[in-house]
Amino acid sequence: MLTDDDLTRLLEEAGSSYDVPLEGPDYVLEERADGGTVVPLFRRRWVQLSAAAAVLVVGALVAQSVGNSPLDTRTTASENSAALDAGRDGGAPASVASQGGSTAIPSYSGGGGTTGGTSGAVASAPQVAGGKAVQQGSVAATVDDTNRVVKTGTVTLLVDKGKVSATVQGLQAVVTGARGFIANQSSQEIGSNPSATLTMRVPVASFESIIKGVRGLGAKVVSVESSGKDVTAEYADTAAQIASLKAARARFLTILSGARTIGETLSVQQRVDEVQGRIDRLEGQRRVLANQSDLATLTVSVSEKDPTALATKERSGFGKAWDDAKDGFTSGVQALVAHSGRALLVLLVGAVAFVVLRLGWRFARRRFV
Amino acid sequence: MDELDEWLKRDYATAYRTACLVLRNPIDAQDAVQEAFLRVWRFRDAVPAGDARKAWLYRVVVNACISRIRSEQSRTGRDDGDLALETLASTQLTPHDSAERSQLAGDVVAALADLPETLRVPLVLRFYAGLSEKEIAVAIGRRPGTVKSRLYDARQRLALDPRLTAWVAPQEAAQ
Repeated sequence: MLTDDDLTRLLEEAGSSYDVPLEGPDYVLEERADGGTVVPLFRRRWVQLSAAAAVLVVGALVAQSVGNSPLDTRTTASENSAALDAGRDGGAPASVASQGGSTAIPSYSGGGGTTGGTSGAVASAPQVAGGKAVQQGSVAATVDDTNRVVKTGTVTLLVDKGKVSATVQGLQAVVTGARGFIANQSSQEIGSNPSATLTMRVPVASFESIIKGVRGLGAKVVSVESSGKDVTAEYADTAAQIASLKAARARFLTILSGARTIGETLSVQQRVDEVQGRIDRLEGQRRVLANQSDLATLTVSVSEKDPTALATKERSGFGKAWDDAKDGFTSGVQALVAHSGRALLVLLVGAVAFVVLRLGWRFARRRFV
Repeated sequence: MDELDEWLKRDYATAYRTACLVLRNPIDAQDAVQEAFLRVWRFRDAVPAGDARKAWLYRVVVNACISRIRSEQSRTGRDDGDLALETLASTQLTPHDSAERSQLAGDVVAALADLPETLRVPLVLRFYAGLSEKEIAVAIGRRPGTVKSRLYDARQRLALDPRLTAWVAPQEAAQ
C-alpha cells in the first residue's frame, strides 16, 4: 500500500522533472499590463441590487397570491341575482330582513331615486352589531383598486340533545367577537327535531377566523363549504361608468345654466334626469357589490344528532374512538388536499427561484474561474 | 514588488509543475498557468483573502488545464480523454525532455497518465501542490467527501501499478 509519504515523494520526483520556465512569470507580468481589473458579474453592485429587487418582487407576488387564496368561482345564484336585481331597481339594496330571534338587525337604506341636483352621495351605512359601523360608501370610494371578493360559506353542525339553544348563543358570541352581525336567524326549539339556521355577515378578513370559532364551539361539524367570487372588475367598471356619467351630468348642468328658452331648458333638464337616473342605478349596484365584498355571508345550520346514532356511538368507547379516528383522518386528508394547491404553488415558485439562482451563481462563478 | 509579483514568486513554480503533471505537456501547462494567473489578477477583487486564495488559484489552474484537455479532445474528435491526453503527451514531449527525466519520474508520470482525470487532479493537488482536502474541494468544485473518495480510489489504483510498487518496495525493504 502506498503511504502519503510515498505518494508525496513520488510526485515530488515527477514534478521536479519539469523545469520551470524562468521567463514564465515575466510573461504574466507583461500580459498583466494589457488588462485592467474586472469586477465579476456577481460582485457588481447593480447586479446585486437587481437580484435583491427581483427577490423582493417575487416574494411579494408569492405572498400576495398565497394571501388572496385561489378564488373559487363557485358562487350562490341568489347572491348574484340579488345584486343584479338591486341594480336594476335603480336604488339601494333591500334592507336586510329580520326573521325572528332577538338579534339586533342592522338597517341598510339607500339613497337612490333623487333627480336633478348633484346628489349621488352614498347613503347611510349599516350598523353592525357590536357597535362598529361599516361605512359602505366611503369604503367603496377609497378601495376601488383593491380586490373585491364576494365570499360565502355554509357550515352544518350537529349538537347533542338540548344543546341547540346554547350553540346558537355561542355562535352569536363568535360573530359579535369578530365584529360581524347576524342578518337572519330562524330556530325551532320545540318538537322532535330542534334546529336553527343563522345567516351571519362578517368582515371578509374575519371569515376564516369565524369558521375556526364555529369549529371551536364543540359541536360536530358535518360539513363546511366556502366559495368566493372576484367582483373587482365588475366593481371597477361600475365606478368608471358612474364617474363618466357624473362628468356628463356636469356638462348638461352647465348647458342648462346657459339655456335661454323654455324649450331648451326642458330638453336639457330631460337629459339631466336621464343621466341622474342611470347614476342612481349604478350607485345602487356599486353599494351592493361593496356590501357583499366587505361583508362575507356565512350560513350555519344547527340540528340535534340522531338519537339512534348517538345510542350506537355511545355503545362502546372503542367504537367512538374509531369514529373519531376516521373523522380525524378524513378531515386531515381534506385539509391536506385543500392546502396542497398553495403549497404546490409556493414549492413551484421556490424551486424555480432556486434553479434560477443556482444557474446564475454557477454562470457567474464560471465567468470568474 | 506588487501583489502579482509576490503571487508569482510564491506559487508559479508549484502551479506550473502541477499543471505539467495534469497535462503532461510543458507548453500547454505554461499557457494554462499564465492564463490562470492573469485571470486571478484581473478578478482579484473577487478572490478570497488569506489561505482560501491558494485554493482559488488552483481552481483556476485546474479549470484552465481541463479546458485545454477538453479543447484537445474536441479538436481530435475523441471522447476517451485519457487516451487523448496520452497521445497529446507522447507526441509533444521532446526527446530532450524525455532524456532528462529520470526513470522514476517517467514511471510516475506514466502511472498518472493511466489515471482518469477525475482521480489524477485531486491526487496531484494533494500530494504535489500540498492542498488539503477542503482546499481541493474548492479547487475542483466538489464536496470534501467526494475528494476523499477520489483520493482513496487513486491511491488504490496506484498501489496496484507495478511501475510504482517497484520504486516503493525496495525502500521499504531497506527500512
